[in-house]
This record gives sequence, structure tokens and C-alpha cells, in this order.
Amino acid sequence: MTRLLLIDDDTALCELLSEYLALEGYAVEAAHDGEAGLAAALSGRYRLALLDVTLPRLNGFEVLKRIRQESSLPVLMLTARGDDFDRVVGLEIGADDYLPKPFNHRELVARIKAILRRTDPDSWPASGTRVLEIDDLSINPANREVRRGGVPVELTAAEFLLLKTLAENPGTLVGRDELTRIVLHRRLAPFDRAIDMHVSNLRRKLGEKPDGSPRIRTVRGSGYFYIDTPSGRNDVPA
Amino acid sequence: MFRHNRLFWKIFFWFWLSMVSVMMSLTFALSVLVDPADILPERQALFGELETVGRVLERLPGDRFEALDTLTSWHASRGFRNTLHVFDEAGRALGVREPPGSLRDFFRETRDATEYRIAVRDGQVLLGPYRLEREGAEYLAYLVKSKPTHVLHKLWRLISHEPSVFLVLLAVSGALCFILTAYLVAPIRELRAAVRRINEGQLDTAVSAVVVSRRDEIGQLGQDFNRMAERLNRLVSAQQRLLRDVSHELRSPLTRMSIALGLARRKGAGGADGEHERIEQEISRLDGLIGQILQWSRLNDGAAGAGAGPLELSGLLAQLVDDADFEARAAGKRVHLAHSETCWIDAAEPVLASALENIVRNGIRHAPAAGEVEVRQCVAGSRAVIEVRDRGPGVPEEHLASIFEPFFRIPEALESGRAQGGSGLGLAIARRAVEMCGGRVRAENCSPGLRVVVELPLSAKASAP
Repeated sequence: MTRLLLIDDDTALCELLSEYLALEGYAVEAAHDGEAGLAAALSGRYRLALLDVTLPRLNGFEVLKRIRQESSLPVLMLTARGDDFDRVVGLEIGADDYLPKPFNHRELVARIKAILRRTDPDSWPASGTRVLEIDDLSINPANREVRRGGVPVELTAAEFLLLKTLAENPGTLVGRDELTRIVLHRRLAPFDRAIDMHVSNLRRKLGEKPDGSPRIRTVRGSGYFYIDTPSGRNDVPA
Repeated sequence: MFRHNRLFWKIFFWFWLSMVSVMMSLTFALSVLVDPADILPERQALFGELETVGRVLERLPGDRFEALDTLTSWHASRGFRNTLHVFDEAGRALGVREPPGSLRDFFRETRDATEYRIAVRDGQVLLGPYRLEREGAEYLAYLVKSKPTHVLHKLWRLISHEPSVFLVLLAVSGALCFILTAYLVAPIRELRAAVRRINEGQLDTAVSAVVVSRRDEIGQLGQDFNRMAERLNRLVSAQQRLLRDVSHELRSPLTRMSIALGLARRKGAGGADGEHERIEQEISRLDGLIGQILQWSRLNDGAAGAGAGPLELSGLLAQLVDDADFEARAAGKRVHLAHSETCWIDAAEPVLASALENIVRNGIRHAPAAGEVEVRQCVAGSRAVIEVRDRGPGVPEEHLASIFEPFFRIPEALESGRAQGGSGLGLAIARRAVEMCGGRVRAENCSPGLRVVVELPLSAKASAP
């Protein structure tokens, strides 16, 4: 059984969720405050953490920040609907996705599955796939490793998929809806800023090209593309 | 300019008028009340005049002063309305003119006087006595001058003789009145601006310290105003906070219900599918209502309009219609964008989007089964016009304006059980949001169906940023 960590101070909800997710094949363990949640999240026993924003002793953002300092454990933020601020902040800090409360049970399971699928090493393509080289980056889908000038760059699963998708089609605009589908395995909702936040985190982690020019261009309201520099690309077998 | 500053000019002109009239009355009062006898140069001038007249009398030919009248008229021709009266020792008046009673009294008082006297009686200046001798008899001559009470005459003399003095007088009094008026009216203007800001929803408004620190009624008004605004702000934010807290709190039990329902469906083995379906619908409706209450309270917060920038409308509409169409298909209906033109408006995206979203959703709700909601957008003059048309039952004419009120329900629809499952806040949110973007929204029947028309001012920067 896949082990999930649920960090939420609503004990009744934790019980209900544990029971429901057990039927879906997940073993849920709950922590009811930020500190306990953080300790559990860093124990390495879980595949995914469901993290509520409003928590006693250490709020959800703080917990997420500290998790991100030490681990790339996938985190699904549970936010209050309509608080755009919460969503943006959560994604900025490094949440993989967010789900507004109250959520529908089917939606919750779909999100959990999507995150697990993209972070599951077994689902990665087997070796033999090509390492993608673009500018000073090398992107290896086989072990999800990204190196910039030979130095490894720590990316979350969402960021990796995003970079891979854009780098495979340099110079070609990829729509926000398509990116949402590929990266987050869901449909783009109205005024959904998840993809934009992931792009901005990716930009921050990769920095600029060696010549100081930007890597990813935004086309306002429609999507993104990796700026193509001729001769910047060649595929080599891994 | 003049129309908006009416109070300013009113006060200014009244002050000025009263100042000028006070100056005139002073001149008048001085000329009436101040005894020339009190003013030494004036005395000398008067005595000089008396002596001149006296010496003329002494040199008059003839014996019975027949020429007195001639002399009097000569005086009058010089601009003075003076009369000369001569008494003999017995106190009889000579000449043709009967002396006024006041002069008779004055004569009795002064017949033995050794020097000239002046008296002011009945508005006349009495001068005398000038003693003269003719043919061995002693006579006393008196001069009666009517006081120059003609203010206009005096004023005219002042203006004609000293135009610069007059102009300086006007300018100085004008400037003083201007300063005084400004001092009175400026804080009133500031108060008005503050009231307007509060009207526009900026509840954290306060009038400046310049007004509040005044130690007069206007300063007190300013302080009272600030207290009122602060109280209003506290009340409203407390209410908004309560609304928001309650809505947030409602989310927890709703989330639990939703998961409990999921469990029930897994265990229920299909026995109560219909009821589960119903419960799920009601949960999502409650969730929608909570979301709308939060949206509404955020819009009334004043902070929602932040981040307004140039926004490309047709792109936003395209995405919105696409999303709405996706939602509508679940109910077997469609939404499509019949026409749109690229244009830029100044608005905060979430605000405008919530407005249009709510209008389109309202359209979806009222469209007939398998019906279609049509969205059109065009540019007309300096405004962008967006029309959303459903082909539903429409709204009775008398309620067309009311449908934008929070929780308004058409009574007929309630009776016929036609109340569609809206929260009753959608169109209210739409109106509030459109107004925040500086636009207007109205509804009209276009049988069949209802057309909601939104007009938004185009961005000042007509082109893309």
C-alpha cells in the first residue's frame, strides 16, 4: 500500500479521509499540527503529503518551506477556495499542486494519482531514451536528472516535466492548458496560476543562458516557449 | 469653475460687499457724526471761511445788507449750500431769509462770545459770531453750512481725486476677503472629497490634520467626521470579517460531508444512488454559495481592485467562454462566443473575470434544455460592449433592475417553482465588479431570453503595453 501523510488539524476529517483513501488503496497516517507534520514528512516513510494551510503551531506554508529545505517529497496543498493568495504562495514555496476545500472525493483521488504518477520512478521511461541537450542544460528522462554546465539542478517532478516539455519543442509555443495536462495531469481551471508558478520557480532555479539571455518566454495569457538558439541543441544517446 | 465653487464665491462676494459697505458707512457716519469742531484743520478752514465772508460783508456797499441774497447765491455757486445770516444787537435777523431755529438758539448762546464758536445742530454747522461794525452799529454775522452728507458725492470726489487710493482700497479688501473665504471654504472642500472617497468605498478615509487641528467648528466637524469614518470602517470590516470567517468555518463541515458521502457511496452498494447524487449536488451548491459570499465580501473590501492593469478583453473572454462551455456541457447546454474584437481595458483580471463568469453562468442556468448562451463583444466609441444572451424565459420588465440586487428572487418564479438553483449573488457580484472596473451593466428582454449588457471604458493606453 502506498503510504500518504495527511497534515490537518481537523481530526474528524482525518478519520474520514483515512477510511476513504484506504478503500482506494492508500495507507493514510495523520498529523494534527505543523511540528508533528514536519517531523513525519521528513521521516522519508511517505510517498506524498497532503498539507492543510491552517495549522496550529506551524502553519502550512512554514511546514512546506522547511520540507523543501530538505526533501523533494511531493506535497498537495489543501487550500480554501477563492484565496488566490494561498494558492500562489503555496506553489511559490514548492507545492506540487493544490486542491481547494471543500473538495470532492473523486477530485482528491484524481489529484493524488496524478502526483504519484509523475513522481513515480517506475513510470519513467527506461534507459535508452535520449538525453536532451539544450544550451548548457542536459535533461535525462531516464533518471530525471537535470545538469547545468555539468552541475546537477534540484527540480521537483512538475518542474522537470515542464522543462522537458518546453525543451523538446524549442521555439514552439506550448499552451498553458496543454502544459497543465502534461505536467499536472489535469484540466486548466479558470484563473488557475499553478503552471505559471511552476514556470517561475523553474526560471529561478535554472537562471539565464550562458550568454545572459532568458531561457523561457511568456506569451501573455496563452503559454510559454523555450527560446531557441540555433546550434544550441543536439541529442546524444544516454 | 464658478458652478462648483458657488459657496466660495458667495462668501467671498458677501464679505467683500459688506467690507466695502462698512467702509462707505464709516465715511458716511464720519461725515454725519464727527463734529467738524473736533478737527482742528477743519475748524481753521471753517473760521477762514467765516472771516472771508465777514470781510466781504464789511466791504459791501449800501446800508441794509440787501446784497445778502446775492452773497448767499454766490456761495451756493461755489458748491456750498451756505447761508449767511446777520443779526443786529437787538437780535433781529436782517435780510430776506428767516434764520433757522437752531441758529436763533446758537445766537442767544454766543452773542456775547469773544471768539468764534462752532456748533453742529440738525445736520447743519453753525459758525459765528463775526462781529462787524457799520455806521456805528454792531452786527453779528453767522454762517450756516449744511454738512456735506452726500456719501456718493464724497465717494465720487475720493475716486476722482485719488483713484489710486480707491483702487488700493478695493484690492486690499478684496485680497483680505479672498484669504478669509479660502480659509473657510478649503476645509469644507476637503471634507466633501473625504465623503466622496467614503462613498466610493474607501472606508479608511480621514480628513487631513490641517483641518482637524483647527480650533473652530470646522475643525470639530473634521474630528467628528474622522471618528464617524473610523467607526464606519470598523463596523464594515467587522461585518466583512464575520462573513468571511463564517464562510471559512462552513468549509470544514462541508469537506467532511463530502468525504463522508464518498464513503457512503462506496459502502451503499447502489441502494441510495439517487439520494447520494442529490446530496452531492447540494454540497456543491453550498460550496458555490460560500465561494460567492467570499467573492462578494472581497469585492466590497476595496482591496480587490488592486493590480488593475491594461487587460486584453477578447482573449480573456475566449478563455472564459471556453471554460463556461465546458461547464455547460455537463448540463447539456452550450456557450459560444459569436463575435469579439481585440481591445484593452483597465481592470484587475480576477475582478472582471468574476463579473463575466457570473453573468455567463446565470445565462447557462436560465437557458432552455439543450439551449445555447451567446456571448458577443464589440468596441463602440470609447467603450467595450459585452452582451450575454440566453434564450430562457426572460425577466418581467418591472424586475429588470432588481435582478442585480443580492438574493433577489423573481416572485412569479418562486410561485411557479421555477426558481433556478443560483445562489442569488451572482449578478450582484457581477454588477459590483463591473462598477469597480468603471463600467455599467444592465439587463433587457429580447424575447425570447434575457440579454445582459456590460459596458466598459477602454484603457487610456489604446494599444498593447
